[in-house]
Amino acid sequence: MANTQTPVFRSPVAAGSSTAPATMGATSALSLADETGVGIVSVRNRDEGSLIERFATRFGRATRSGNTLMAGQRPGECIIMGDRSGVVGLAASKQLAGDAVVELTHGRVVLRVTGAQASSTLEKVCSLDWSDAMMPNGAVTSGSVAKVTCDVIRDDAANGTRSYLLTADRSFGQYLFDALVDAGDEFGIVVG
Amino acid sequence: MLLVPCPNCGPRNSSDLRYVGESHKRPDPATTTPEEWRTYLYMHKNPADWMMETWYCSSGCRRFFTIERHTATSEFRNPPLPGGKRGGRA
Repeated sequence: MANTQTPVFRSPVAAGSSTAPATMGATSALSLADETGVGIVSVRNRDEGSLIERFATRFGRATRSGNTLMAGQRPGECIIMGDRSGVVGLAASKQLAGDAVVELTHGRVVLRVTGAQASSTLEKVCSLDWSDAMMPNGAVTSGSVAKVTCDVIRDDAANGTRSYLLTADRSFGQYLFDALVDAGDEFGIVVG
Repeated sequence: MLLVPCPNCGPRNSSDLRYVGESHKRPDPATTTPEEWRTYLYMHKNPADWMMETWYCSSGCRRFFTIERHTATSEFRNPPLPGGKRGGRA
């Protein structure tokens, strides 16, 4: 008998599972948000130039078009993030022979660290240089964050507030979330 | 801390990469002798000098590349160009 139930998307980060302060959603110098529901599609092609031409991004850089973010994660590989149906449609509309297109929406956890102290928090759990010179707005890098391999996009808010988008394998979601809350505790991190 | 100059990601902590080992030419499996194959797999020069090594950037660009490292001082030289795989002297 066919299963007619509509699939329900669940984040790997359980609400209220961390030791974060109870001031959820409050305005703070540092906040952590779970944005795992965002759609993610990976596009790979050996021809880096082809990806640059079609998705207006290159290795190490991200470009935003409305709610859609296109980021060059690795040489010959980019991800498109945004509304799920939108990013799947965008990838399909620009797909060429030789592309490997994979939807990763349900395979990745997406966390956003925002605030003036965001880089100080990440410095505690990652050995990368988070200064503006090395990681300006729109920069993309990959590295070990709290011993978890993450892709990181500097995606500042519209008002210029420093913000980082971290994606990692879904199964590391809860651990990564807790590790970031722990690291941001001294800066007064709030969740939400 | 050992800083490894990844051609794509820049200098990275060695804990972000995986050391693959000494880089040397792989014999053709179709024509090699068992002795040559055994030498390729298990025998290493391990000099206290400059040596070609293969590294894998597991936390960054996820690419293999070769580079020269001085095994006594752990200095690196002649990394490949960005996007390239083989470094060292031409």
